[in-house]
Formats: sequence, structure tokens, C-alpha cells
Amino acid sequence: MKSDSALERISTEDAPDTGQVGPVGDDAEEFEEWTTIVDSKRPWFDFNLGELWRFRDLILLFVRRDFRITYVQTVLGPLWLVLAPFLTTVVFTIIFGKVVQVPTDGIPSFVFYMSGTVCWSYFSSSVSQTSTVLIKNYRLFQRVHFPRLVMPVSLVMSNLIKFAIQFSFFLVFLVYFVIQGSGVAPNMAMLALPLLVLHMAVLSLGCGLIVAGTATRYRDLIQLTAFGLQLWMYATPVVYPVSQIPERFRFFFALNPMTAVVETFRYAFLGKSSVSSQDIVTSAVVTVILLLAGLIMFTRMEKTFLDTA
Amino acid sequence: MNTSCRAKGALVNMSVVIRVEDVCKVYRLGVVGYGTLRQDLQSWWARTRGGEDPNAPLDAPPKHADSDANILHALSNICFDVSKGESLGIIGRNGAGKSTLLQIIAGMTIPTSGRVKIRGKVASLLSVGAGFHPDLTGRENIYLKAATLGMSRAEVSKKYEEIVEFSEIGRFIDTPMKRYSKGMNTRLGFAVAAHLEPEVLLVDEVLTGGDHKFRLKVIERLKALSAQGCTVLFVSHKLGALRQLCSRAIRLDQGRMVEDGATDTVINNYFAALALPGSDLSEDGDPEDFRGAAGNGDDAYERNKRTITAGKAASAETTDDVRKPGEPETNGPARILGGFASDGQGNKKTTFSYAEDITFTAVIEVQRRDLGLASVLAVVDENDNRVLASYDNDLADSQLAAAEPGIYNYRVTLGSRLLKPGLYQVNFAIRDGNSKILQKRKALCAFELVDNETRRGLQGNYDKGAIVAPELHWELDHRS
Repeated sequence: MKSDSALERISTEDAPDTGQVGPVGDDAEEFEEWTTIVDSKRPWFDFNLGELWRFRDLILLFVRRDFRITYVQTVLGPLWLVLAPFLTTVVFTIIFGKVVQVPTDGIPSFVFYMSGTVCWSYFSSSVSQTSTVLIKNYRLFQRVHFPRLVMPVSLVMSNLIKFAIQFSFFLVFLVYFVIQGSGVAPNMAMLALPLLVLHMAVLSLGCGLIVAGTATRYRDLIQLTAFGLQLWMYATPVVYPVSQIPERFRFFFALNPMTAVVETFRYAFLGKSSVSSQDIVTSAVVTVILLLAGLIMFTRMEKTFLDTA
Repeated sequence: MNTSCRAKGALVNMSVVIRVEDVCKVYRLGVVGYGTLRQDLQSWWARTRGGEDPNAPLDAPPKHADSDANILHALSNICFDVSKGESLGIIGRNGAGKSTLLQIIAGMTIPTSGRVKIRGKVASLLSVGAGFHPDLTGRENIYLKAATLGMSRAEVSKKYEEIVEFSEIGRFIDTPMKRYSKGMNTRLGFAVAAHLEPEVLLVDEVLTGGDHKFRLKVIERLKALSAQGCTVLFVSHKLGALRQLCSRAIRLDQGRMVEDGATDTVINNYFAALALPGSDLSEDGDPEDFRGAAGNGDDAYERNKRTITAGKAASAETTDDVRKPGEPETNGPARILGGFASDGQGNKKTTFSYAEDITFTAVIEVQRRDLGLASVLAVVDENDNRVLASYDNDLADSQLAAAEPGIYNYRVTLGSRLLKPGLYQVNFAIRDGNSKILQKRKALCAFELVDNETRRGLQGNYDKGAIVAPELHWELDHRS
């Protein structure tokens, strides 16, 4: 090792022949603060959301890319998208509606199940895609630097396109049942749909981020997530109404943030539900907590997962 | 070494754009956790109860998980400042920490200790082709790649024509990128990054793809950016390009910064260090070399290099008594002990004149007689081009084949007035009867060739634009 003095030299001394070295005096005001500091320690609350905003174009481009690749360049892509919830709904209608005969608050079982399925499939596919985001894009992250949060956010947004298609499909059936006059009563609460969608998006982002960071170290979390999502569906009033739950268990149901989402959705489009404003507030609070937890865990891992994954 | 290398009285230069302060990066070798949650929980439970970790490898050193053997210091106490508009070259052999350093400056991974401070927008071009999606067209990928580098749609649209023109993709711009050649990929990747107008540009080995013409264009573009006030950090094994682009360079060796100074000096010292006995690069697997060797159709040489790369990770620290990966077992028929370059009088030296013969000597220990023994020597220039190669059994069997056990000086002489002035490295390998490499030594020795003989040399106008620049006999006959 050479003596330290070699290291202490100041750059300008070593570049005598170029004239490329920036002037010292005049430009001094231009340089006030460091714009970026890469440090070994980062505060846990430093999510760098400003950076995320700067890369908003990238988020949209990723969404566009996903859209192009899944829907434009495949033949069956969009068709499959409507077929999947349709078939699921048919199965639910037969099994839970006809065989088990779960009461559906007097709503035709087909739209009842379809409303639940459409909401749930958005949530579940957002979570499962977000949870593998770091592992699947490892190669890219290793080579290109952009805020890692861009990826999960764009995934959640890509799924919104899918949701929009499935939701329109649901509307077609809804209109049919309204015309049939089968006790379905869409109402002004429909206007809250954007809020509901935002709620689901934030919730799925939060849950996905919690898994994503940790899954870089523990791959079994991926399987666990897939399985957990299945169980979670049965803990959410997708195939049954909350009104079937005994009063003393209702509180625990309200803690599941998806309960209020699905029930509010049903209230708005089908006209019947037993969701209370208190449930909605509880759900919102839990969602915010989950999002924060997700952000914390994700930002903790994003700087080091390249070394450990 | 002192833990802090920041000089106390260092001038606070306001034009400093990048300040690297005492950066260290430590990797734990081996396992990080055991991969599954169950096992980690098991280990944690066992540790809290004070028992033995059921998942610990049997040969794991007890307790001290952080003992030195398990730790790789990828970077140790790196400090330097880069001023606005300056181009800084980073050189060093593979594994010296160059790429890790760039990754840290790019913010892709955090240092274990220390910090990097940057003023201005950073664009990193650590891998030109990354960020492209094969199913999207060139046009769409331009927007996508530019966005990953932090450029807005509006900015890209403004620069779009320029990017396409620079990349020379032309009418293929609306073709999906999976149909592009590697060269086109590289060109487009660089074109996007080169038109970012970042304040700091980090570039890692972009010159690997693309043809010679494009490389020149890249260097021109980087120079132009630098002239506009963009600070460029440039990692490359193409030392010639580095010389053209950077006035200042730092040299890393095993994670330490061993030199910081004018590029020419640093490169010369780098070569001098290569030539030092003991600075064996044989464990160095440079992907660039593979292509070079493959180009020469020398399959065995190439294969061996691959095995050497595979062993690279394990040889973070090599000590003299440990057999390095790629070296033969001690019971092989022969092994290389060392080597040097000397002039006609037998004086060992590293700087030769254009008019001097250069004798390369490999010290070889023959351990047992082997009729198939042979060797090959290659001269590589500072841009990693294999300038020449010579096989000792081209005409007849190698003299090594008849050698009784013992230690030999194996000499070969390169005639004078052949190569252009510059820095060269000599690679040497011994092969067995099946042309399989038994052992190779990258940088057996290195030498600098200076021209103080010819008229151009004396005027300081060295470069004839070709690697082989022999003195030929010219004849002029009058046609009557």
C-alpha cells in the first residue's frame, strides 16, 4: 500500500493538461448542497417518494409495456381476462349458490359472486405480482438504477387495466339483472368507486411490499403468499355476505381491510350490504398501517438485496 | 492503513461534484442466512437457547462468524473527489472493486461504511443493453430506457431524432428489439445514455460491444459531454480509450486505492505492477479475454480460462503456499515459476527501445518427463488485443518435451522494430500432449516499448495507427 499522501491529492493538481476542470470561483454559488448522498445509514422513514415522482414517466411506460405485451401481442389475452372471472363466478354460483345454498342477502347469486370475484382478483393478482417484483427483476435492478418502488407501483397500476376490463364485463351483467328487475339496486354510492379502487390499490401495494422485501431472503414466502391469499379469500366476504357472520365475530372481520372494500362495492352496485362507516374507517386505518409497514420493509431491503439475493 | 484518508487541510473545492468519503464495502462470503425461513427460525431459536446451530456447516468456524476468512473487503477506505467536467478513469484488474465502486456511486447498493456525495443528476450506464425489452420496438425501448435513466418523455422526444441518428439503427427503429444484433443493442443503449445531458455519467465497459468506428464515436461523445461540464467516471480495460478520454485516473487493487494521478502515469505504473514478480493474474477471469482467445481458435486455452473463472470466487485471497485455481496439481509434469523480460545483454528491464530485441524468459519447473509438453506465448496490448502468439512446437516437438526434471529458463526472443510503441503484457501457458492448458500465466511479464530511434519516434509522434508497425524495406524501381 502506498502512503496516504498519494490519496490526499486534490483532483485539480493531477489534471494539469486539460483545462476541463471546472472553474472554482464563479460557479461557486451554483453548488450549494449535495443533491445525492449515498450513505451506509438511511433513516427508516426515508422512502424517497420525491424520486418516485421524478420517475413517474417510467411508471407509465412500464404500465404501457405490460399492456402491450399482455394484451396487444396475444390473441387470447383479453378474452382470457373476462373468461377467468366468468368461470369462477359460474363455479361459485353452482357450488355456493345451488349446492350449499349460502344466502346472498336476496341478491341474484350470479352478480353477488361476480362482484366479489372481480374485486378479489384485482387484489390477489396485485399482491402476488408485487411480492415477487424484486426477485423477478433482479437482473434489471443489478444493471439499471431507478427508484425500485417504480416497479411495484407500476404493477399495481397495470392490474388496474385488468380490473377495468373485468369491471366492465361485470357491468354488462349488472345492467341485465337491473333490467330483469331482480332486486338489484345500484345507487349514488357508485360515485365512490375511484376511492374504492384507490383503497384496493394501496392495500395490495402495502401487502405486496411487505412480502417483496423479505422474499429476497426467504424464497418460501412466495409459496406462502400464494397459499395465504387463497385462505384470505375465504376470510373475506367473497362467497358469502357479512350478514351471515355472527355479531360477536364481526369485529375481527372488520379488521380484514378487504371486507369493507367488497361490502362497500356490493352496497354501491347491488344495493344491499351490512357495511358500517365504522368498518370503512377501520379498514382505511389498517390499510395505511400495512402500506407504511410495506414501505419500511421494502426500502430496508432495496438497497441491500442486490448483495444478498 | 489509516482509517480516514481525507486530508485535514484539504482544500474545500466548490467545484467538486463527486466526493467519495472513506467508502468501504464488505461482503460476507458463503451463506447469507440458510435460504428458508424455517431454517433461519430454527437457527435463531437454537442460538437464543444457547445451543448449537443445527444448520451450521460442520466445518464452520465456531462462533466467530465474522472472522477475517469469511469476509471479503471489496472496497477499503476509498476517498477521492471529482471536479465538474472532469473525466476520471478507474483501472485495476478484475475483482479490484471497480464495478462495486460505480454501483455504490450510482446508489444501487449502499457502502458498508463511509459515504458518497454527489451534486447533480446522475446517469449510470453500467450495462448498455439492460433496460430494453425484447418484445418492444426500438422506438418504444428508447423511451423506456431513457425513463429508467430518469429522463422525462418530453426530454426524450426532443432528443429522439439525435438518438436514432447516433445509434445508426435507421429504418429498423420500429422493429422489435429481439431482432437486433448485439452491436445494434449496444449502439442504441449508448445512444440513449449519451443524450441524457446528465451532470454525472458513470460508464462501465461500454466499449465491449460495437465496432471500432462506433467505439471512436463513443469516445468522441464522452469527450463532448465532458467539455459541456458533465463529469464522467469511466471504467474500462481499454486503456488506450481511457488515455484518450481521461486526464486523471485512479487505480484500485484488491479493493484499495493504490494510485491517483495523471492517467499516463497511473497506466504506466499499473503495467509496471503487472510486471512485478508475484503479481500473478492467473486467477483473473476476464470475459473479454475469452473472446480474444476464441478469436484465435485456441479452444483449450479458452476452456481453461473458463475453469479459472469458476475458481475465481474462491480465491479472494491467495497466499503463496495455496495452489491457485487453474494451476496444475503439484504432480503435473511441469509448472511455471515466474518470468521476466530482458534485453540482448540479459539485463532484466521493463522499458525497451523500438530497436531492441526483447527476450522473454519463463522459469519452468519440469517435474517429470512428458513427451507432449509444449507452450504458447502471446503478447497483448493495452486494449486487450492479442497482438501475436507463438507456439513452441510449430515446426518440431517442443524442447520441453525432452527435458529431464529440473528448473529451466525457457527463452524466446521477439525481434526488434516490430510493434508500435506502447504497453504490452505477455501471457504464457504450458500445454500437454492433448493441447490442454496445464497452466497459464496472464502477465508473465509486461513491458513498455518506446520509440527513440525512428524519425517519428524522435518527434514524439509515436502512433502509426496500427499495432504492428515494422520497419520494412522499401524499394523504388524506375520503370523504363
